[in-house]
Amino acid sequence: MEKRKVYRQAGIGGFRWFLAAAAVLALMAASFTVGALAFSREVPVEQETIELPGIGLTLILPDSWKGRYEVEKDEGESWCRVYVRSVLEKNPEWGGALFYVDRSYDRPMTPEELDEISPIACRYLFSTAGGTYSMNYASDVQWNLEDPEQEREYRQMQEEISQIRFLVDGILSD
Amino acid sequence: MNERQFADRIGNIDDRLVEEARYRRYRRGGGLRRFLTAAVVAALMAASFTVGALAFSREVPVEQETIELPGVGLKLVLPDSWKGRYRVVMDEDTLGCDVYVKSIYEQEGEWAEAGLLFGVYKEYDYPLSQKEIDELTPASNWHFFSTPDATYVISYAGDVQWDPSDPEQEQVFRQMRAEIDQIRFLVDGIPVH
Repeated sequence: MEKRKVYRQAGIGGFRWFLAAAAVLALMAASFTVGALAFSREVPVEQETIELPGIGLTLILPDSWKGRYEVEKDEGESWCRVYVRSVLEKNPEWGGALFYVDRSYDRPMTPEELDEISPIACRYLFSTAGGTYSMNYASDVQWNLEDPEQEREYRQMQEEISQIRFLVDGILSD
Repeated sequence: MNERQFADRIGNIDDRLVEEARYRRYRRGGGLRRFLTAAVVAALMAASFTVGALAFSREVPVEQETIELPGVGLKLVLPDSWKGRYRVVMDEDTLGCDVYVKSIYEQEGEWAEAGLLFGVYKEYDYPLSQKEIDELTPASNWHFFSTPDATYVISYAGDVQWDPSDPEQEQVFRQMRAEIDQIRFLVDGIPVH
C-alpha cells in the first residue's frame, strides 16, 4: 500500500511501464530491421558446376548431386569424366563412371555425322562454328553387381543426367 | 540541511516528508537496477538484430543480365556491364530477338531504332550439316549454334548503326560490340537421343 503510494507520488505507474515496454519493443524492431538490411545482400547461389575453360563449357549439375559425384579432368580442362562417388569409394574396380564430356571434333557436325564417325555410342550435345560437343556413356556395368545400393544410386544419377544444363562461352567470338 | 533549516523543521515532520525520505531510499537502490535493465534491453536488441540477419541472409540468385528465348529453351547471359545499356526487341513467336544499344535505339530523329548489335533466331528445327552451313554462310557476320533439334542463327548488322555525327554513339556502340564475345549461351533440355 505504501509502495503504491510512493510510486504514485513519484509518477511511476502502469502508463510508465507501458511506455518503457513500447520503447523496448521499438528498439527490438529497429534492431531486427537493421540486421535484416545488413544481411539481405545478394550472395551467389552455390551451384554444382564443372568448368571446362579449355573448350569454353560449364556443366550445371542438378542440385541433388551435391556430394555424390567425383570429377576427373585433363590438365587443359578440355574434357571431364564424372563418377558416382559411392561406387568409386567402395569398389573403384567397378568404375562408377557416369559420363564423359568433351569437344569431340573441331568442326560443326550433325548428330548423324557424329554417329557415323564416332567409334563409341555418344550423345550429341551441340555444335558451334568451332566444334561439336558430345557426351559419352560407359558401355558396361559400372557398379558392383552384388551391391543393390550402388546400382540404385547409379541408376538414379544416370536418369538425372538429362537435367544437366550447359553454359557455352565464345559462340559469338569473331 | 543547515542548523536554521533543521530548526525550522523541528515539530513540522509530517507524512509527506516521511514518504519522500522512503522514496529517496528506494531510488538509491536503483543504480544496479538501471544497469540490469539496460543490459536486458541491449541483449534483446542484439537478439533481434541476429534474428533479422538470419531471417534475411538466405542465398538468392545474383541478378544476371539475361535474355531468355522461352520458345526455344535458350538463355543468353550478357556481360554485367550491359545493365541498363541494351534494348531487346523480341520476335512475336519468341523464337528470336534483336539486341540494340539502348541509347541509340531510343533516340529521336533519323537514327531512331538504329543501334542493332546482333540478332539471335531459331531458324531450323534440325541441326545443319557442314555443307548446309557453308552454303548458308554468305558473310562473315554470321554465326550459328546447333542442338539436336534446332539451329540458331546469330547475325550482325552489315551497315553503320549509329549517327556518324555523334562520336559518343560510335564509342558506346563499338565498346558493346567488342563485348559481344563475352555473351554466354545457357542451353536447357538438350534431348537425350
